[in-house]
Amino acid sequence: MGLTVLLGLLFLLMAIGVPVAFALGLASLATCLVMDVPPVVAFQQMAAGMSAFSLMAIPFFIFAGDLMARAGIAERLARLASAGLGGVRGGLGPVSVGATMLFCSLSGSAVASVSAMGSTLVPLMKREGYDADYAVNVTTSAAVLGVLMPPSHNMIIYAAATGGIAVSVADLFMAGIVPGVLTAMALMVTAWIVAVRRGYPAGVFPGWRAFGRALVMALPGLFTAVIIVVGVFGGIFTPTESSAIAVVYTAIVAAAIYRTLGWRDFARAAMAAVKTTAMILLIIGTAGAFGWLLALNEAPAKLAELMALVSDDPIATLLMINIILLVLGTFMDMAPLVIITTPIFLPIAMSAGMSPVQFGVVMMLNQGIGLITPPVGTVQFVGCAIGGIPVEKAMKTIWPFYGALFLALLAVTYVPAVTLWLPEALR
Amino acid sequence: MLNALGAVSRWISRLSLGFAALGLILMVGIITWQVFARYGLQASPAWSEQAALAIMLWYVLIAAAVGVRERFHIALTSVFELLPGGWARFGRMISLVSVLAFGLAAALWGGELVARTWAHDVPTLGVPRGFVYLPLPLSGALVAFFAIEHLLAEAQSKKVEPLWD
Repeated sequence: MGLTVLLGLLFLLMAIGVPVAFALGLASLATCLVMDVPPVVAFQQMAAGMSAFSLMAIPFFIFAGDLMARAGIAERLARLASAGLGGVRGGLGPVSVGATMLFCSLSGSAVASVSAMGSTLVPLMKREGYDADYAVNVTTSAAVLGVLMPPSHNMIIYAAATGGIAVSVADLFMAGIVPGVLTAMALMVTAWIVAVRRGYPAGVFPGWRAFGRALVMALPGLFTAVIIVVGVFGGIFTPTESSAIAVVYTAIVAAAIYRTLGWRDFARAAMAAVKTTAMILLIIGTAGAFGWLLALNEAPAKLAELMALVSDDPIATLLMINIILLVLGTFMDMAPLVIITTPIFLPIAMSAGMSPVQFGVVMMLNQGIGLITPPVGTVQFVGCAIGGIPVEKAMKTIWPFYGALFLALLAVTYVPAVTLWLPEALR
Repeated sequence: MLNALGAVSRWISRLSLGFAALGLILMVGIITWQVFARYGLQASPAWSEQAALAIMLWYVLIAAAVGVRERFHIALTSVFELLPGGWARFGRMISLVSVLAFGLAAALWGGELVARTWAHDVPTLGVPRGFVYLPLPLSGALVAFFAIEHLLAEAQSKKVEPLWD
């Protein structure tokens, strides 16, 4: 009964347009009332859900990402990329994937990456004779890497959603790097093949001197990634601390070296970060109560039983989880989906032999794909808005990029070494 | 009536945005100080993490309440929007009433949580746990207030203009 009310009311409320955070809260409250649990417990779970130190990294990384976008770091990366490989036939496509990946590994957010890189790369590609749909799809599919590459704030959300199972954010960050680079390579090859088949032109190589200058200009911005990775894995600071340092470092680089950031921009970036943070953390809070009630009603065990009716083979189980998550990802946004589905699917994935760290990366890539699939594909929408084309137009030619991402998802799901090798090698 | 309400609502919205942005910057400062103190002064402050977390709960919950006014919370497109005639408006009203209900519940039971935890101090911080949770009922009351503003506006076929960008 409890589970029926919890899930039934959640879907009903979401369907009539109640914001996800409030739908989660109301469904939890109603379930408490039905199950004779004092409702104050729901609010206690909500407060507890929001009170993890690791969650502080979310506003910080969002803040840092916004500062990077305002400071013109994206533009410098794009310039470096086009100086590097723009001279090759169709080279601007794969190079855009690389530049977007670099920005993703600075900001850790797919939406920030597509808005920052897209507004630089898409006009650049269009100017060089590339079609808008191609330019948009290359950038949006590469921006998906924002959830795989450290400092992905969705990984922090995942680590906070695992309930009783301890998952280290540092391990998750490390585990995302190899899959991120592999996925980027798959996307680069795809982007290059499509570019050559469409007969896109070669640009002009500006010479080593210009390339060197672009590199020097981009380096101070890129150094943020070094600070985060070395700082966190060298045990110098926690992921949360690294995120605060990233804010301070970006602000200093932008204000003192690039001279692109004034007080007004700084305040605006803080305000923009506050808005996103409030939205995400309220969902994390109400999902705290929701997840607690899911566990109380033994939802994972019940779903596992249901799935065992279809097959109890681990390979089939993992495939089913992936398909369910992909379908849910098409019509729900990433943060709420990660928070709601992690406590349900993680125990099932673990009983199929998957480690929590690997499942986290599977979840990231899977839900990342959801960011570029309509009807709710935030990253795809932002990309199309930047490219000035209707979403349907981009969707017609996005299939090769979906294919590359799907291959990467299969590799991450069925080859544990892809995710687990790096964290173990560094231990 | 709606005008006076609107003025109060705009004032709360602007004030909260400034308060929240300052809170975020303060948090960055505290955590940066924590790193500096550990390496520069060889002494980790005991209070810093709890203080930053308390600040975050305060500004996030207040800003999230204003999010009802500013309509920045993620929602799916309502099925009522697909129906003809007055159904879309009916759907928006139902959705707002749901949000209102949650706000009232948060004010009531969040208040109970505050009352129950007021006697316990947060370790290393010396303030009552209830104070850290106080933004929960406050946020609930604000959510209810903004939901009512939207409902009144909806009843008069008006819109509440967002102020945050």
